[in-house]
Amino acid sequence: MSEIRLPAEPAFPPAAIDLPHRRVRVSAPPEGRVLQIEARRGATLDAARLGVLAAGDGDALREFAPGQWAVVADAPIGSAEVTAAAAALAEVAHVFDIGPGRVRLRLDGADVVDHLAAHVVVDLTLRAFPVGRTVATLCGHVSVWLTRLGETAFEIVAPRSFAADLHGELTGHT
Amino acid sequence: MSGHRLPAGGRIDRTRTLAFSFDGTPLTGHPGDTVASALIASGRMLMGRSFKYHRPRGPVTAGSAEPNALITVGAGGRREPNLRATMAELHDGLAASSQNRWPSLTWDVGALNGLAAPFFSAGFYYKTFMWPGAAWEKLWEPMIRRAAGLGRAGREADPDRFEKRWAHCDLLVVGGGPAGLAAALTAGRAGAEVILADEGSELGGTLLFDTARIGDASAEAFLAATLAELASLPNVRLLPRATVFGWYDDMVFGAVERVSRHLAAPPPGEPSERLWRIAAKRALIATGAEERSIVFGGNDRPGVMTASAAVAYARRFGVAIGHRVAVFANSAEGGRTARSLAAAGVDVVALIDARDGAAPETTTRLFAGGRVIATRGGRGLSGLTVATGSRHEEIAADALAVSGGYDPRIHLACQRGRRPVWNEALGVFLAPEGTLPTAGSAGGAATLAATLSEGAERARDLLVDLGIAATRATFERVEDDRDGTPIRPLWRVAGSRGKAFVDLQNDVHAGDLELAVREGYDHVELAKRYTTAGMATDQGKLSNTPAIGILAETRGVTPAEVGTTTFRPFYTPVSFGALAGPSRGRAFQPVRRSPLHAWAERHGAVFVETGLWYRSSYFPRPGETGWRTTVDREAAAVRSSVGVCDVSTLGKIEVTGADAATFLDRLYVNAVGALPVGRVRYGVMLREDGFVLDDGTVARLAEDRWFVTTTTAQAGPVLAHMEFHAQAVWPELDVAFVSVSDRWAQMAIAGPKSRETLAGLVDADLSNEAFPHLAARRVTLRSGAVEALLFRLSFSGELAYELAVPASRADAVAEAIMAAGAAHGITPYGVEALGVLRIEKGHVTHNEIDGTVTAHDLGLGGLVSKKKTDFVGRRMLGREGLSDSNRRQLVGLVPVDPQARFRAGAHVLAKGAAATLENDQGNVTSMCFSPTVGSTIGLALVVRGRERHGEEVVVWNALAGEVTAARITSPVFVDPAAERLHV
Repeated sequence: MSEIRLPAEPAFPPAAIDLPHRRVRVSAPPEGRVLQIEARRGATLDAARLGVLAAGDGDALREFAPGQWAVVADAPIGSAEVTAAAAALAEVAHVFDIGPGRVRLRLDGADVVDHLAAHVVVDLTLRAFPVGRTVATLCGHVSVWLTRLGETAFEIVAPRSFAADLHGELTGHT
Repeated sequence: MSGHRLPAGGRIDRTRTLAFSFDGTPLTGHPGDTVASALIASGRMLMGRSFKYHRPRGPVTAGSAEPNALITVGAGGRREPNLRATMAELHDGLAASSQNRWPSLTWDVGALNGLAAPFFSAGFYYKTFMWPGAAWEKLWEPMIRRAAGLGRAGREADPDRFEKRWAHCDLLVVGGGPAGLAAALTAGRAGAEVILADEGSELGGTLLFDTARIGDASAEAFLAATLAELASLPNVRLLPRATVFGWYDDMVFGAVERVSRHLAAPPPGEPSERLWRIAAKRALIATGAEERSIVFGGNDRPGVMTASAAVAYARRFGVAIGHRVAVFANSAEGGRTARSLAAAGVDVVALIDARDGAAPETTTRLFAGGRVIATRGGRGLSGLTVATGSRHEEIAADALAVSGGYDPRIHLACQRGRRPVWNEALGVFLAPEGTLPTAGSAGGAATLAATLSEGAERARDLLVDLGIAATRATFERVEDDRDGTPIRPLWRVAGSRGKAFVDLQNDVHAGDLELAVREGYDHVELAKRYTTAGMATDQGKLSNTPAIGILAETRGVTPAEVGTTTFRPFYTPVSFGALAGPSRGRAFQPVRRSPLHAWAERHGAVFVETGLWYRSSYFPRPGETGWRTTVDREAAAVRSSVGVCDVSTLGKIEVTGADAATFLDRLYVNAVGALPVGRVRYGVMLREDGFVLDDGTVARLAEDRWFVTTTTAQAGPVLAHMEFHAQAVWPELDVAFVSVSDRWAQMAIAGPKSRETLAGLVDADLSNEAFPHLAARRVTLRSGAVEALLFRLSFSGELAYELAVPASRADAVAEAIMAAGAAHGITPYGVEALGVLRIEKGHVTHNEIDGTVTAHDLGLGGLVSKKKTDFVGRRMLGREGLSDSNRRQLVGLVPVDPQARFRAGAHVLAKGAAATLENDQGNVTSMCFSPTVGSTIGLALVVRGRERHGEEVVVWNALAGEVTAARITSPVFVDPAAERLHV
């Protein structure tokens, strides 16, 4: 029994996929950490206040709804760190570790806006959806957070149980 | 032969030849042809048979309103019926066939129906074929349906891909004719995001064949320059072959793009069709107008078509519709048509202008004040009878171009409840004020100059409304423009001979409409249904207005008083493939996979769909003869040793906040708020009406951290229930919660050996003293390798635990548990065995919690707190109906004969009672074969059930033909004292 080390299984295929017929690459960043931050009633959250949770390389804040933020990061987090984070923000917010349940997918490439338009209702023009903006929306039938990382780069955070299906949908079941 | 290819002209590519077939006959055409233009070029004007009388029919349009020339194209999964030959683009190898004929298009037995026309008058199926009564369904209707009809759908799956996509724009311009182009140009130059969609294979509308000149440029040259400029604007998206078929809520429009439907097969990576959902801030209807026909006797012979179609065939496709073409009109369009055709090289033999005093404009012979009162011909037109006053004259002609004016295409603007408005001055129906704006002939404009001007002006106004500065595009003077004089309608030719058809697709003639009025079906909606005018694939695009005109004449009122029928999506037929998009086959709906899916697969699980989830149902082993054998083995393993089951699909919600305990106390019937840290409790939630919403567990992991579980099915609704109460009912409470259903994989480890199995994995003392029944704690596994949650819970009645681990570690942990339990013969079990175990123990699921039961009905009345001042549903519990002693209550059922069985859903009757609704005493909610009891057992909701333990009843199932004697028992079949839980 001792040889079993209880390793983690990734939700998405680890290898990036370049879509045929479209200049789009689909890849999965490390599962790392996803924290959900819910503002207490009446409290105001902003990036500066939440920066303590996203201080590392690759850490990022996503405001997906009023008073609702997520912290995504490449490094995983333990319950002690979550408890510490919750304590640090206790006056203004509640912190939840939802990491293994929410997984990230990244889409890059010149045709990415066209590709995503088949899956999400969001107006993806830069004017309407600038770099850095996050929305909670549907990707196909799956509830996701969609973030614009760059002009032609997007991140999707999706429930783990839909990961295989969503990956198939976004890669055309290649 | 009548139609023929002109020696020059048209937008076809004469340097290339395409081979195609029609009803098996090999033919040729050119790129740019439609099937209709290529068939006409080959001398084939006969393209179909009519719906009812099987009369020979040819195309009457060159566009999407076509009622006659419906064909089937393709084979196998790509076979598509009811395509309009006038829209189907030719490609090499295209195989087309005619429809609704037998044995052939030329010799159609169904044409005998014409002899029986008196029996097929409007509403004939209300009057004839009535006797004997049973014959209608068995004989007449099938016979009529076989004889009358359209093409038949293919039965093979379409091999092609269909796509859906969203688009957003400032301005959607529907229609790529002159008005739409002018609008797009104006908006595009202003920098607005513009989508210009048109159903045609080419943008341009009438500019594709108009003889007018814009400044020094021909219509074609003007079109080319305009399209080039639009294509150069990055903010303008041009969508040819895209029909905007519907206008929906929030300014969302549906459009279907024939991406590659016009090709033999889609190019790699391309879909067959693409369904666009276009969210537009503003939209402009620039859809043009449909040329109106004139109803006269014999107006359906192949060779009779609209004047604009005749010109389009000549000037766009390089095809003459006949060798001797006559023109019949009630406006200056007649003369313009004759000139256009003649200029293209078509021999025009007569111009019949219904206007008295019409002046000759061309060398074509003019019949001023003339009317076509009859036609001759077999499968094609051969001659006309023209009446001028009392004088009748026979004319030899193999084609007739008819113009009765223009009807604006206003369907989209009227799809959301607004009725078209009759404009007496113009003699047309227009879109009412306050709906989508129109431009060009869609709004009644008659001339090209007005159309261009309106398109630009409307676009500018719409952009200004959006706060976008715009200057309207201007255009040079239009030469050889249309006459702008309003056209006085000529609905039908009085005194004409033969059937004068109004609706060609449904074989509705003027006499049918008169009959409808005589028989009281004079309201336009009734007349439509009585005569079928305006139904089927073309939805009466050519016939609706003439039908209204004839109804008005017959009733002696104005068209305004008759009004129109209701406009609804879709504007033209949309394939099911396009509507389904990618959601078919395995992608029909998303699939939710448990984090233990792969583990279950490796252990041979058979999966069952539970909502979107795939749950492991049972784990068959070699040699097992059926699923029951497997399930019996799995259930027995749990009772005797240990089993492991994936329960990850349960809803899981993490709750926190200073008021979390208060919040949960108000949601659950029982006192959960006082739960100490480290404990878990069963809980029941009610709806506001007092009936049970869901059951689950509530665990307190820390002073301010709670872990709530729900049933799989109610995970979403319970979360929504909580959100509603947190946000709307008790906003003052400091509480926050999120779904962690996907975050935690959860396994039930159940059976007398479960503690020993887990002991090798969990870094904690699991003794009964240290970790008693209903303990709940954070633990670690394998010396801290994994953080987990452990609950001592049992759904089976055995010593059992539920272990929640991070979803990413689920597979490895499950294998570790299998290894740890190997010495005890640990057995994976699925939801079937889970069901057996819980039925044996009398635990309820949503089989029992069916929306009509109270906690008391389920035997859970003891949980309902009498101390709490309030909780959701409490007020209603005292309602008379909910506390009625005659309510159905949860009981167990066993067959009197252990070999007998019954099924879930069967009704329970008192012994000896007749099977009537009044005698119905309840129903079986769950059943299984119990390996422990040795027979079928069931749970049931039975009237006053708890008082009736021991009573013999009848379980009645007429659907299955089963009547089973059974005995009411306690619902707990195993360990009623619950001793096994506490070992």
